Amino acid sequence: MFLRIFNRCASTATASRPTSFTFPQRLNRSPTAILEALNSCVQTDGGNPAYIFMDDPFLIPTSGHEKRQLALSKASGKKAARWIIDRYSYAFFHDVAAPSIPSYFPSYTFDEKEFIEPDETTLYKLMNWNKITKAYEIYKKCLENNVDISSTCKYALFDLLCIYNSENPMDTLPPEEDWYRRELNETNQSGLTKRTWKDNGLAEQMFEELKLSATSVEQKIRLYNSFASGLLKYNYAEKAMTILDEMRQNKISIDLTTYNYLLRSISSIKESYEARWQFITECLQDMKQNSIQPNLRTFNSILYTLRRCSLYEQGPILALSILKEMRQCGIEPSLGTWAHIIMIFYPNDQIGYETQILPQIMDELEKQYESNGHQFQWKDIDDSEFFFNAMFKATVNCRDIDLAKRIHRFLMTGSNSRFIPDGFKEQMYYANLFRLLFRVDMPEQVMPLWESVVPNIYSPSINVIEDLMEFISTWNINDYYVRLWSDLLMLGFIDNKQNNRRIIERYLMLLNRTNTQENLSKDQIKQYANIARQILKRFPLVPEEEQKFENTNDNQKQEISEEQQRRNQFKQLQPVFQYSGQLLSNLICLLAQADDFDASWSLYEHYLSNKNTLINPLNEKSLMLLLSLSIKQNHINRALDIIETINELNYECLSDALDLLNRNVNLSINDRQRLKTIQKNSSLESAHHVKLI
Amino acid sequence: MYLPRKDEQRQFPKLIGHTKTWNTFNTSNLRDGKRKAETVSDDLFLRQFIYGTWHSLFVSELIIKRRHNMIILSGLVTRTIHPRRMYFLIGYTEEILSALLKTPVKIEIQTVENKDEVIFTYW
Repeated sequence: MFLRIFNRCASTATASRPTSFTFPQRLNRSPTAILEALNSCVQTDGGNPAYIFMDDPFLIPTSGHEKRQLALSKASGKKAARWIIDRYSYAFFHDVAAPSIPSYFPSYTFDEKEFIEPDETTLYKLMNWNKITKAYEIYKKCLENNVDISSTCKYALFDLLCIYNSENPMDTLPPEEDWYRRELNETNQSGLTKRTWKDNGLAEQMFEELKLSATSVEQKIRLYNSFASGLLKYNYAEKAMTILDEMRQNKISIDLTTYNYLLRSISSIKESYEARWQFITECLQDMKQNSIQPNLRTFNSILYTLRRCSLYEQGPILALSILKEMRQCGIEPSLGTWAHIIMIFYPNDQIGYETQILPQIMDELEKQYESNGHQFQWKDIDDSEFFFNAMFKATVNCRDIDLAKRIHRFLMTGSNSRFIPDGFKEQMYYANLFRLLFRVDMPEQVMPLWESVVPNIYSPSINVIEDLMEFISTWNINDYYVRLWSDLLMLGFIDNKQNNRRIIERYLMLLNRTNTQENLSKDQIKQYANIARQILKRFPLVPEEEQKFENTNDNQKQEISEEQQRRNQFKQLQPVFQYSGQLLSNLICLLAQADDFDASWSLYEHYLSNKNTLINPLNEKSLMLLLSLSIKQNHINRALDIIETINELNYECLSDALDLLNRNVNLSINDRQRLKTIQKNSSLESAHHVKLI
Repeated sequence: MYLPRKDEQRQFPKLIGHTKTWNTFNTSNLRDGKRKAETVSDDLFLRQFIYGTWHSLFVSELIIKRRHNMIILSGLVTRTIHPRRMYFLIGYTEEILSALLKTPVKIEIQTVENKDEVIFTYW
C-alpha cells in the first residue's frame, strides 16, 4: 500500500516540483586538483626517457653511465646559473609574478654589517634561513651584551641545534643530483649506527646553560626531550640513557618523539634480544601510563628494532602482534611497516620460504591501494625500502616468479615508482628481478618485460648482461643475436675496459656456437660477418712491432713535433684492446663463413706474426673453415700454409685437412710434394693414414 | 643573391597564417589579452639570449610558446657539441631564464646533424 503511494508520487514528480532545493555541497578542490587527476592517468612508461632528459635520440642516454653523466651535467648547469644569479643579483629583482616565486630570486646573502646587532629578530631571521651556527654566535653575543632574549627564542634555537647536531642543515639537492645522492654522499653507504653526535658541541653547551635557567615544568620537559631526541637521533645511546634516567628522577615526562627515537635505537642500548623486547614492552607500558598515543612512527620504530634482532625466534610472532596493535589503534600500516615485516620474516637468504607472508602482504597492499583511491602517500621515511626489500626477498628466498611479477606490476601502477628513491636501490631491484627471471622463466614472458624496462627505466649492469647472455644461449633465441649486438653497443658494454672484454668474448662464442648446430640463413651469416667487421674497426689490430716502435719514441722526443707527441701519449694511455687467439679464431669463423677471404686472411697473418704475445692459439674450427674457404677460392699456397700451421699446432684435424686438399683436383705436382712432406713430418698417427695421390 | 634558404625563409610573410605559422604563440593579441608589450619585449630578449648563449647551435628560429604562466622554447639544434655540454646549457638556460622572467621556462629541442639539413631550397 505504502509502496503504491510511493510509486505514484514518483511518477508525478515531474508535474509537482519539490518546493525546497538543496544546493549540492561544494567540493573543495586544491589548486592543483586537475593536474593531480591528469597525473593519475599517466604511468611510468619504458618507452620514453625520464623526464629530465630531452626527447631526442641524440640526447637520450641509454647506458647507466651516460644517464648519470647527463643528469649531473644538467644539475651543474643549474648550479652555474645559480652562481650567476647570486653574483649579479641586482639584475634579478624585477618581479612580475603574483604571488612572487621565491626560488626565482637570488638567495638571500648575509651582509655582515646587517646582522652584527645581537638582537632577537636577528636570531629569528638566521634560524629561518638555516644558519644555526651563526645564530648561536649571535646568541652568545647577546648574552655578553646583556640583551634580553625571550625564552621561546632560546628554546627554538636549542631545538634546532639538537635536530641538526650543532651544524647547519644540508641544502636540498636538485632532483638530478638527488637520484645519485647515495654515490655522492659516501657516509651513507656504510653502517647506520655510527655515533655522529658532536660531543661538547654547541647543543650540549646550550643544554647546560638552559638547565640552570629552566624554571617552569614545560620548559624543562621541552629542554630534556629535545636533548634526548637529538642524542638518540645521532646514535649517542649511553648519554641518552643517562639523560633519560635524570628525567625520570626529576619526574619530567617523556614525550612521543623521544619515545619514537628511543624505540628506534634500542638495538644499540641492549644486547640480547630478550632484553630488547622487554625494554620495548616497558616503554610501551610507560607510554600507556602517561597516556601518550603511539603513532605510525612508533610502530615502525619497534619493527625496525625487531628487524635488527636477526634470527630471533620470537621475531615473526611479535611482529604480527604489533600489527594487530596497530590495527587496534586505528593506524594504517605504511609501506615502511611492510618493509620491516618482510625483513623480519626473511632474516637471511635461506629461511622463510614456508611462511608465505609476502603474497599476503601483497594482497593487503592491493586492498589498501584500492581503498586509498589508487594512491599511496609517503608516510614514513622507511617507505623507501619497501620495494627493494620485497623484490630482494621474493627473488632470493621465495624464488617465486609470479610473486616477483606481481610486485613489479604493483610498482608500475600509478605513481608508485617514486617509492624507489635513488639510483642504487633501483639498480639492485631490477638486478634481482632479472636474475630470477633469467634463471627460471621462459623467453616469451621475460623478453617483453626486459624490453619494457630497458633501457629507459633501467640500464643493466654487467652481471645482469652476462646472465642475459647465459639465458639467451640456453634458450637459443636465434633471432635475438643480432639485436643483442646493437643492445650491447647501446648500453655501453663494447669498449676497451677489462670487464667488457669478457662480454665480447662471450658474445662471439655465442655466435659461433650456433653456427655448427643449425643452418643459418644467408642474411644471418652476412649480419654476423658485419658484426665481426665492426669489432675489428672499433678495436684495430695493432701488430707488436708498432707497439715497440711507440715505446722507443720516448728517446727521440725532441725530434717529433708536439702534436705527434700528444697523439703518441694518448695512444699509450689508452689501453689497447688485447686480442687473444680465442677471439681471433671466433672472428675468423664468422668472416670465413661469409666468404670474406681478405679479412680472415689478415687476421690469420696477424696471429702468425704475433704468436708470441697472444694467449691461446687459433682453434681447429677456425683453421678448417679458413682452409675450406681458401680451397674454394683457389688460393692453394695459402691452403698449404694453413696445413703447415695445423701441423705445428698438432691438431687432430690434420688428417681431414690433408684429405680435403687431396681431393682437390687442381693441385700441381709441387703442391702434392709439399703435402707429402707435411704428412711425413707430422707426428700424428691419423695423418699418416691418409692416402695421398 | 643565390643563397640556401630554410623552409620558413622561402615562404613570404604574406603566407603567415596560411601555410606559415608564427614563431611565438601567446594569447596577448586576443580580445582582452593582457601584457602585449611585455610579451613582445620578453620575446626579443629571449631570442637574443638564446642566440648568445648557444653559440651557433640553433639552426632554426626560436619558437616560443606560452602556456598558463610557462614559457616553452623549442628549436632545432645541431649536434656539434657533446650531449654533456648540451645538457649543461639546457640546465643553465632554464634556470637563469626562469629567474629573469619569473616564470617557469622549459626547453624542448630537437637535434639535426648539421646546418645543411634544414636547407629547403636555393633562392
